[in-house]
Amino acid sequence: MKTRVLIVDDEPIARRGIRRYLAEHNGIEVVGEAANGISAVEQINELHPDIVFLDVLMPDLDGFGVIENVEPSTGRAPVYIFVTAHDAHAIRAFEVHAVDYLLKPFDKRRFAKALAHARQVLEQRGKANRSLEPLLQSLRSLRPLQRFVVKDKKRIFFVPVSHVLWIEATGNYASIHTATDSHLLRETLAHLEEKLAPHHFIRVRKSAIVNTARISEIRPMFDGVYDILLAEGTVITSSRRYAHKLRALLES
Amino acid sequence: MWQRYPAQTSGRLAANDFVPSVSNTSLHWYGSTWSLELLTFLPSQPRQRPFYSRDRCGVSGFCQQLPDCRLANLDRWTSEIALPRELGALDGPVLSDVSFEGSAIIRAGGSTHPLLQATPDMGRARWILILCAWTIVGLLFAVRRIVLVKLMGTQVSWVTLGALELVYWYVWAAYTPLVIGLAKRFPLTGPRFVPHIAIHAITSLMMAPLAAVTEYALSLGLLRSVFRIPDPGVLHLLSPFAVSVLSMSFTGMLTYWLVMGLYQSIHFYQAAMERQTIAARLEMQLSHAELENLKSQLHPHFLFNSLHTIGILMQEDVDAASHLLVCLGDLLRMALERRENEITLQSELEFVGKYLEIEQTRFHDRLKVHMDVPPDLLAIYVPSLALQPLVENAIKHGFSVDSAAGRLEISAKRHNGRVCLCVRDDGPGPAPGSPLRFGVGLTNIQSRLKQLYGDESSLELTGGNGRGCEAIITIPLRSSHEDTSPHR
Repeated sequence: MKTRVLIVDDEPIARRGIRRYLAEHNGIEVVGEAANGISAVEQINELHPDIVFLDVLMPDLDGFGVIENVEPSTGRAPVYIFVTAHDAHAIRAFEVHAVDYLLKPFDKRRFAKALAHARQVLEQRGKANRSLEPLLQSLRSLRPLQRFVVKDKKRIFFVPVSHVLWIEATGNYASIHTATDSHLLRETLAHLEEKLAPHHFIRVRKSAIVNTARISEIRPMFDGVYDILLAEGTVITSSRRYAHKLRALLES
Repeated sequence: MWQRYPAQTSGRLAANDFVPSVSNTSLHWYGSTWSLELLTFLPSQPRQRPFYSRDRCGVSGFCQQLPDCRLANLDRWTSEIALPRELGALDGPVLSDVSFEGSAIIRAGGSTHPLLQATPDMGRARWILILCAWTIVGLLFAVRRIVLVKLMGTQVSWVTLGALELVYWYVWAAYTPLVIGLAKRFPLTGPRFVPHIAIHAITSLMMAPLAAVTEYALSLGLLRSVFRIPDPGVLHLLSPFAVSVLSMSFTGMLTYWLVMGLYQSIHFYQAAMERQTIAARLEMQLSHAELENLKSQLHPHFLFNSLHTIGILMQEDVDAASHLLVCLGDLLRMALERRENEITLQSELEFVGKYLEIEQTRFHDRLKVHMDVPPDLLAIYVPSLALQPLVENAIKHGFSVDSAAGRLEISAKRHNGRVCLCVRDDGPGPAPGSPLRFGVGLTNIQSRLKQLYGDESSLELTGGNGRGCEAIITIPLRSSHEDTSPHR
């Protein structure tokens, strides 16, 4: 059976280059190409490739965003080979978590090594899938989330974090509220809190995270409880447990 | 005496600007007030003179007069200092203000930071040091004299002999601050070297006999009142007045010049060490600034991606690959070699063109560039490397984050005797309500604009109604480079 490969890069020449290098190896089938993150997510979900060459810096959704947004399918997850030109943070994270990556510019030999390694991982693995979660987690701490990826039945779209007023927990889901809309994300509040920039968004009670840039007023009520007025008129009551975060904000 | 400091000493000095080398800095604390003095040599005047001083203002007043002055953190002490007109007029362009960023210059004080010198404890320590040094000298001479006297077989107590020697050298200990003061005031360097030697010759001729008379009087008094020796001459403890004073004067002359010499050599040593430290620091700052400059002009991400594109193209189309390589080479050369502050709009557009050519090859049909520059504006002078960072910014924040974006507009137009250079993209633009922040590149451009044209220039960044972003540089319209003196 052939190894199915997906190439993701926003530069056509770079995609051609990978195709050219792949042509020198047997048993490879290029199942698709993607020029941006969204298209990559869609193709991975649909085509279930074995190996994905994934450019890190791309429009719409970067390489790490792609991995985070791929549906956890029943089949096996692809092996990712990251491709990047210059990203000190990402490279350090790759090294720490021993994930294979290609640094542009690379040549045939380096490419062949990465491919051989990926095929080896693919063969050995079968059941034990190596988790990329630790890598994503260490990257998250370096660059906070820029926008939410919202999936509904028809499409995938973005909501920039700065558009969000506050986030409310509803069971295992989170609703993000913008001035005009609300969207449901399949994520817990704790998980989101980790991903967001700590000074930009603060947890004010167990079930609410607030965008500090949109706070217009903070009214102390009693005993460490505050009423937080958002620019649009929404009032969110904080809980005493999280009062220290609000106080830290007021002092900063 | 005058030293050229590279522009990077502070972000606000142009390459040809002069900063006088400050040879002496002092900052004194008077209990409740500060006084700052920067001394320098001027070519026209042989003596060190203050070119800047602030006397006795309260701490808050001091800080107000020196904006951004943070006394608590002397590592980053920025202040703007108005240079006297005569200084600026000496050579090069007239400077209206000099900013000592990071202040390698103010810290010319180096290891002996004036703040430490000014504290009274240091003064007391100095006195104790002087006294100790002279005690050692005195004891050495006392040993010599005691040995000599014992060999000659005279019966005199060694305590008496020791006391006599110490009296002699302690008189010089008392004179030492005066000698050091004179050495400071009339240094044996600089253009007035000869007159200063003459001054020291005269003062030494006056001081040595004076010291000798003091010593004679004190010795006599000591022998008569403490040791109860009514006639010291008999025991050869003290020669007759005239002989004594004459011989002591000769020793005194020698002592004076020795103290002088010692002070000068310590001073030279310290100054040399300071110069070394400053030179090393400047060197570091300069290379750091050059590197940062290059990085801010051409992002490493762009460079490596371009190299990769060339590597791939080489296997498909050798001509296209070599063309791209030449483009990249030109771009690097321009970025590295460009030293003038201003160039013609045409050259700047050429540079931008090379950059865009590479980007267009990489993204081939996605990036569309529209240029709208009237031909008659091509000859005007614009700050070098001002447009390229804006274009790079537009690509980075517009084109690279949104796959729907792909149009870039570069335009120039006249507006009320000024020129507006505009770079516009159709990317996602800034989020409504969120403040636009300037990154390193834009902050750089802004400070250069201010330095070149003052308030006549501006850099604006505006979001285009929810979509796209527009950066506009406004500068005075100038078709030649000569009339661009730094703004006053």
